[in-house]
Amino acid sequence: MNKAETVAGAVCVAIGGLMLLESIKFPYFVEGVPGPGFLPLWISFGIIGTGLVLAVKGIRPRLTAQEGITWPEAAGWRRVGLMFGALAVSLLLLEILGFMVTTTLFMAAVVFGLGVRSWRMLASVPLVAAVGLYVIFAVWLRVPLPKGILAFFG
Amino acid sequence: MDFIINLSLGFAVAFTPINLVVVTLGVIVGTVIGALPGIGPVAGLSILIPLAFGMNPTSAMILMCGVYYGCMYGGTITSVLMNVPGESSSIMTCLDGYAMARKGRAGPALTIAAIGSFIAGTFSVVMLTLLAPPIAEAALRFGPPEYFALMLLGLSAISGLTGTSRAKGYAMAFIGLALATIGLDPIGGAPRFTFGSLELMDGIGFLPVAVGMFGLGAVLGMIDQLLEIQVMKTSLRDMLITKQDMKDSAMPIVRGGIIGFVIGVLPGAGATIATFLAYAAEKQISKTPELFGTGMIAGVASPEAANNASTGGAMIPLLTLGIPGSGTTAVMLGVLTLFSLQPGPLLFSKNPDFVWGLIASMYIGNVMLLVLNIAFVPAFVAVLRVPYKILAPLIAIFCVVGVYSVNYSVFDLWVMLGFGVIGYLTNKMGYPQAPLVLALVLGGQMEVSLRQSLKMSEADISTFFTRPISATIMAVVIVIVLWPVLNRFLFKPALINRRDRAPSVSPPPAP
Repeated sequence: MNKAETVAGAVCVAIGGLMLLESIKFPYFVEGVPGPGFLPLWISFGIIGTGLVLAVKGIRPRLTAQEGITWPEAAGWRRVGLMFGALAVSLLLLEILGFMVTTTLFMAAVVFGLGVRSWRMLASVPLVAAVGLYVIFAVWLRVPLPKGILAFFG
Repeated sequence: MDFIINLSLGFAVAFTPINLVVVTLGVIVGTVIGALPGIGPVAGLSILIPLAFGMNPTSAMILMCGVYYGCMYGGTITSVLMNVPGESSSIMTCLDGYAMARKGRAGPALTIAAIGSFIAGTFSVVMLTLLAPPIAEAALRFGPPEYFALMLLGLSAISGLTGTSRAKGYAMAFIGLALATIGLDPIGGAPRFTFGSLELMDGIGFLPVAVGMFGLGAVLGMIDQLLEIQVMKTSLRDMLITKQDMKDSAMPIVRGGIIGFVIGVLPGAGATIATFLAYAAEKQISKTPELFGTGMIAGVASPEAANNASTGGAMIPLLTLGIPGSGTTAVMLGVLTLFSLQPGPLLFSKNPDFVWGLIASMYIGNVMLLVLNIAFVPAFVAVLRVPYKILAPLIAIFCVVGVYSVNYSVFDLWVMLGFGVIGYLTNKMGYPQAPLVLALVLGGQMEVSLRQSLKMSEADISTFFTRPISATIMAVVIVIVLWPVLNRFLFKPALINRRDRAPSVSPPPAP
């Protein structure tokens, strides 16, 4: 049994099941023609069906020749987690601290976390990135980027 | 001579200063994205959507297309100099390209790839110029059943014909369709699957999903194993080719160009498959097939011509029918819908300056790429030396700012982050992303044309099989979906026979 493949198939079945439960709440036919529940119902059948096929293939991998999945090593997972975590924190802080501060902090944290130890790089890359993106989006494309705590200066 | 009038209108649009700047920017960025391993045309285009969104639609699409075919040139650089394909469409170039580089002939390999790309790319734009108007005219007669059938064809081809597992492709397409139903019902207006959330009333946007799945997904994939890049040195003087090189590559370029264009037009196939076929064809025709893989210039010229020619081909169904055949063109369709431009037959009569400006810019872009990829290779190689430790967070934060800049919505950012993780995991597990994004882009329209068709026919499903055009398209869809079964019962004996002397070219991995 291939655990990851089976779980992925089961997730599909679950998504399809959830959708099925929701879509039967909408009318399938309205005045003799398909209504809002028509396509969603068929889509949910499709998801459940393909999900079942995938789950069975996962449980009995010998039925089909499958290529193995190359998962990253522990250090690789840590880097992926770092990037995801840093992005999530940045989204939480974006409207509080503003674009400039958040971008600088994000870049510094991730560049450091990925293993850059040169002080010159750690100081310059985040600042150049923040200013560069500000010029492209706020100055050139006139996007009102969140100012946050720097609003006082703007 | 309609096309001369059309093209002169197009060049008038393409030669405006802003569009010249944009096409230059597009092809340069495209070459860089193409050259960077781990980030291909789909990811590159997705990341740049917000930038394009700040421009007018014509300039935006000129930029996107420039990046698209620029990528095809750029992929070569990495294949030849590093033996790492810049993207899946330059896998075949590694075989003979890197072998040439090891013999000290990296320069000629790059030059012939640029020349081949230029000739084939221009050929495919000429074909686009000539073929698009009649196809668009024919498509004017299409009704909802034909459109539904066409969209079904695009979707089933991209799910069933690419990638390693059909079931995974279909699962992703169904989930994409499911995502498309979130929000207000396109006909009745009732909210569906919104779970009382105000944000979900607007539906799941194409932009955060595409940027997340392709852009952030690529970033996460980039850092899960950091590769140290070794690049061979080249100088401008090494780029010269001999008369013999030119003679050896002439016919491979022609053949590669034709194969690439035809495959590009077909839904689901795309640049990667075009290169595999072109390479296999060259090997089959060659008098010395055993020398392929040891640095045959034909083995570089032909696939490079093919991947470039496929771009012009892929634009035909996108522009004339509004049906993209690949992930990259699905992203372009998404961009057009962001601008409320409806690609399809009416585009040619309603927005001729847009269509012809775009097509004309492709001629200009190809000329620029020829020059760039011969004279400025060392500059692009320098970009490859930027470490991933800096590049990855930079692209990530660019995605964040980009998605924010279109709707000013933090909700969109969370959607993007979620789909970034989904994109990364699905990529690892061999679930193709293109079907999901294409289904999300087409889903709403598909539901409308399905329900309109069934309304016209009073809920009689045979309407799809009695109208000649939609019946033909539906027949193709059925063949694609039932292919594994048909294959087993009808063609199995022949296939087993052929497998004994199959060329040593394995099918392409999931793009």
